[in-house]
Amino acid sequence: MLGTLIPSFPERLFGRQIPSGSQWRKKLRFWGSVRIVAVLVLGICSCADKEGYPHDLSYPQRADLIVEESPKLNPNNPSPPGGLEKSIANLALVGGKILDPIKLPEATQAEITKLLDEQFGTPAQPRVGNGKAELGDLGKKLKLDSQTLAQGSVAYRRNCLHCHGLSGDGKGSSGLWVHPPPRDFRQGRFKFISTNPAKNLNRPRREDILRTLRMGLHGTSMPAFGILPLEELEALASYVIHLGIRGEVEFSIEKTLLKPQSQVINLFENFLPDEEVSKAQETLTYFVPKFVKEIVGQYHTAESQILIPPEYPFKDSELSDSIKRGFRLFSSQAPDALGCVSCHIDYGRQSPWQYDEWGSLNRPSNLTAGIYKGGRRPLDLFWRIKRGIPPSKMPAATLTGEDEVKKTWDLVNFIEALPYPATLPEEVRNAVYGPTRRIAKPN
Amino acid sequence: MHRFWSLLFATVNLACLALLVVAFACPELGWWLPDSASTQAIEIDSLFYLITALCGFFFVATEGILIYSLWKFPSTAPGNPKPIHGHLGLEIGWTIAPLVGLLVITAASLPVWQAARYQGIPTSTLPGNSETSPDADQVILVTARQWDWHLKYATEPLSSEGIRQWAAEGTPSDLVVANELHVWKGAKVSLLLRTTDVIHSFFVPALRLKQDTLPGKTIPMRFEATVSNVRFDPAEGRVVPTDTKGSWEIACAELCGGNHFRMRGKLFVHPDRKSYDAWLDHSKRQTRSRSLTAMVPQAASSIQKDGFTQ
Repeated sequence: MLGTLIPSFPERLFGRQIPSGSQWRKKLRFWGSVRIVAVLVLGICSCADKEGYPHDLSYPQRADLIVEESPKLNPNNPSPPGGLEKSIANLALVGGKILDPIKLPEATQAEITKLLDEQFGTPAQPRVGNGKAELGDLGKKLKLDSQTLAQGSVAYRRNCLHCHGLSGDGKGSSGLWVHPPPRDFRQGRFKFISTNPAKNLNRPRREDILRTLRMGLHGTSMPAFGILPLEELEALASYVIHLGIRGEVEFSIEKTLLKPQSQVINLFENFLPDEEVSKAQETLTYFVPKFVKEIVGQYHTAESQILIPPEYPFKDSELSDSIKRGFRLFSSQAPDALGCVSCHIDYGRQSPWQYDEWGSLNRPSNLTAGIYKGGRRPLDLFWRIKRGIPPSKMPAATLTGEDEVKKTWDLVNFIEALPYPATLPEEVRNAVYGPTRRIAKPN
Repeated sequence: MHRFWSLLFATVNLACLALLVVAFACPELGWWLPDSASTQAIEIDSLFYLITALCGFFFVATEGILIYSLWKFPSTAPGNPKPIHGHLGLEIGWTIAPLVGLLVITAASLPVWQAARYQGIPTSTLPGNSETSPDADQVILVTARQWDWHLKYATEPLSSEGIRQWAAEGTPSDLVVANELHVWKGAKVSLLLRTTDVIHSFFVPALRLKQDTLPGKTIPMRFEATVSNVRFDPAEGRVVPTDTKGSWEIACAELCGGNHFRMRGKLFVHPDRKSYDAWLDHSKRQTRSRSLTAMVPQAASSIQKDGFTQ
């Protein structure tokens, strides 16, 4: 081939005479040509196929362990890079409960896959619902129509795939090597949400997902995607919800079926009317669409259930007193204290590692660092306090009494000022940073 | 066929020259330099032209001699050409000529470097120094991480001495924005570059500004934009492009990991301080406000109000 075009190619490669017709000469000529062709082919390949997943690709069946319950014990160290899967497999040794979806009968596994593909399509043509009228206009309202999802899947492949993985399992090629591990969407659980806890909805609003996309999660490896066009961000949010719902259906069914003597009925007795329960008991085919509709409905309800922060009750001059009260609430000494400090030990500087719902490790935030994963706006802090971070075991603050509103804002004010020693009242500063810490004089 | 190499070299060289001419003559193709939008851009571009001219001259000259020699003395030509090895005059010539060339380049580039890197940098940001120096109109702390830029804007005036402390501790009222650099035309902007993980490089082609960020260091930079590309539209609540220039890119110019390619931001140069202040006020309202309705005006009407009490 190319080697033959330039007769002296092998000599030029090695700078010495090689007998013509020898085995060596043929080999050199062959590999030299291969090298040139490979460069050309790679060049051409990198120009092609910039858009979307291949059409014959389907979502892989869940094969990794399901964490049913993470251990209560606090470990000393996080799992080493790339060792998350191994550490999840060992959770049972330290008091966790894990289930292995591979143990399901093969026929059941195949049925689940078939039903999921029917409801959620393929990575190239994602959808939510099987296209029949089951979902009504819920899908449209939540922007889960197939056009938006297809756009989202292209953007996801380009921006998210290498950490969050094809099925949203957080095990993309880079995902294994970062800490905290990228979110596994397949339980439909999100950490930073602003929905009303009174409605018992552990769902994010689209706006919560968009905030994470726009600003990233500071303090983790999730970067900010704010310069992508708004349309693309919206499509990404839709696609993440799609992966979340798909994963959650799979997760819930497998988790239920893997429990001893369980039946599909356990899954949906909460939301199906009695006469339908008996029908659903017979078959997953009947159950899955109902379940999808239920989850989509929850996401939809969450949209209107924002937890509205009450009016800020303080004047600027009252800030210092508010910070002092917030400091007392945060501590564990005062009678009405919340004891935040018992997890955020030493204001988070010595927080212990603990397991979250996904079986990975995190630790309560170091609040003196001024790095807030869920956002640094006062409203973000408000939502974290009032809403908690359920999947990582941070409880919502239980503030009661007529001072509830004031107390909440006291906490927000304290946490917002905490990283800036110069702005803290002296007694608080001494308590947090010690009297010896040199504070440079403000100008 | 025996003149194959001379023809090949001649073709490739002519093609390269033709490309250069096309790139220069047709700026709309975007093959030449990007927009230049800062005071130092013009000087750095002049340096580029000087170096290109010098190197171009010698490149054309040497390639010309090479092609001529290949044409004139192919391997099939009878006899041997006269060797020039040991020609004292030639050797002195090709030692002196590059030396002069390099000295010219050095003399031309030192003042540009000095202006771009040291003039107007608040000396208080340099370690072990607290002297006063010309005040910057704007101080922005740029923190690079894998893989985005966090830009922290001081929203209250800072004295030269205060910059260092602010960079170290900040205040609760700072505005933190991801990947968006907002300045106004004519503002003396002081940047402080930092990284939380690996080495990145803050590169704004339109400003001709490029500086590595090194772990453990705070590196000061300075620039002044001369052209604006956006203005803030209060009605829409966002910046809108004012001309076809549209957006200027900020890129990471140091391979920093798997997602290096998308570690990008945008430079927004407002026409005047008024537009910038409007943007700053808007952003502060969006991010520092303690009331949802101040942040999202439509929230009050469209969202159910049964939120708070439990």
